[in-house]
Amino acid sequence: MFKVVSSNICKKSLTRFSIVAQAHTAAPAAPGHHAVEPQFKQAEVYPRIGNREIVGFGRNGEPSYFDSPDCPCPAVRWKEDTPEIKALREKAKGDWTNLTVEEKKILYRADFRSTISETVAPTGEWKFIVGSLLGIMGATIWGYYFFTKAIYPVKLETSSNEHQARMLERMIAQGVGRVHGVSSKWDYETGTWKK
Amino acid sequence: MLSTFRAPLMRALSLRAVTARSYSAAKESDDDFDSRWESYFKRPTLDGWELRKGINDMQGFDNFPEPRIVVACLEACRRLNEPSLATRYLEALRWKAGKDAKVIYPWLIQEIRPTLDKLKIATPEDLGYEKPEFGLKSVFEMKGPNDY
Repeated sequence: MFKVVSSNICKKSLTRFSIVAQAHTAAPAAPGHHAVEPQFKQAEVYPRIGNREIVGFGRNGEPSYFDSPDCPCPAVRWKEDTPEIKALREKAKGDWTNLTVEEKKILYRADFRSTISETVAPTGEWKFIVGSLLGIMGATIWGYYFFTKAIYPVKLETSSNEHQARMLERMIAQGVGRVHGVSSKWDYETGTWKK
Repeated sequence: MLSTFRAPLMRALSLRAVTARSYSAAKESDDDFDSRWESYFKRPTLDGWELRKGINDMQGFDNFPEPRIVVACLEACRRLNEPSLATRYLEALRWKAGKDAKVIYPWLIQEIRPTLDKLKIATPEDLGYEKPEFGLKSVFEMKGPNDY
């Protein structure tokens, strides 16, 4: 399906598009500039674009197509040249009163994939994003509920008050914190807390 | 006596004028800019490649084209038999007007109405393209070349 093209042919034929100086200069260009014979057969050398006509520089000289309001004229036409479209283009060489609105629309869609208003139209993607965000927040709240109710309330034997009193008694007996801690507040002579 | 002062005075003044000249590129006046672009589109040997490059470049400038430049561009479209490019250009100008599109765009259409009627160019409103017609997928969501 694809013909393997050697890379030096591609490089040679793409130089047409990297010459920026010919367009958009203050001085009028030489009158013979217009005639640049293509030294390639379109469909042979550009397996990517097929039968499409290359019409301009585009954004960077590559024969690619994309719709963008700040670069309204892409480098290739959108649709491949078919006999119907060719016939319409021939008709467009005459007076444009003969072109009906439908034919003008067909010609437009043959050159361009979408109109600029379609390109900048809102896509509604924000609804997907906000919905996902709220969904994740909801899942987080469910997770929090699960953790606080099922995982966190752990019944340890050592949490009860009686156990803590036994631990305190043992700490005083061992003399834990005799200088600044718990046992410093215990009066060992009388066996009560210090006043 | 005045004449003995005048010559060195004149020399001093001219010297000051010379040293006051800036070394950056000369600023082009608005009229020169407009005329340059208008003559670019009026050139009879313009081809489609240059016309499109001109439109794309103008779209990037920080100014709105004068009606006479728009007229010259539309006439170039007519010479090169491209009705859809003329419509595309008007759509692009509408976008370029940005927030002030409701004010600038009708004014522009009114200014170029004689040309539109003479060349029978369809504005986007004539084709129904000021509102989106198709809801095409963005290219990042398409799963194949024919998945619209």
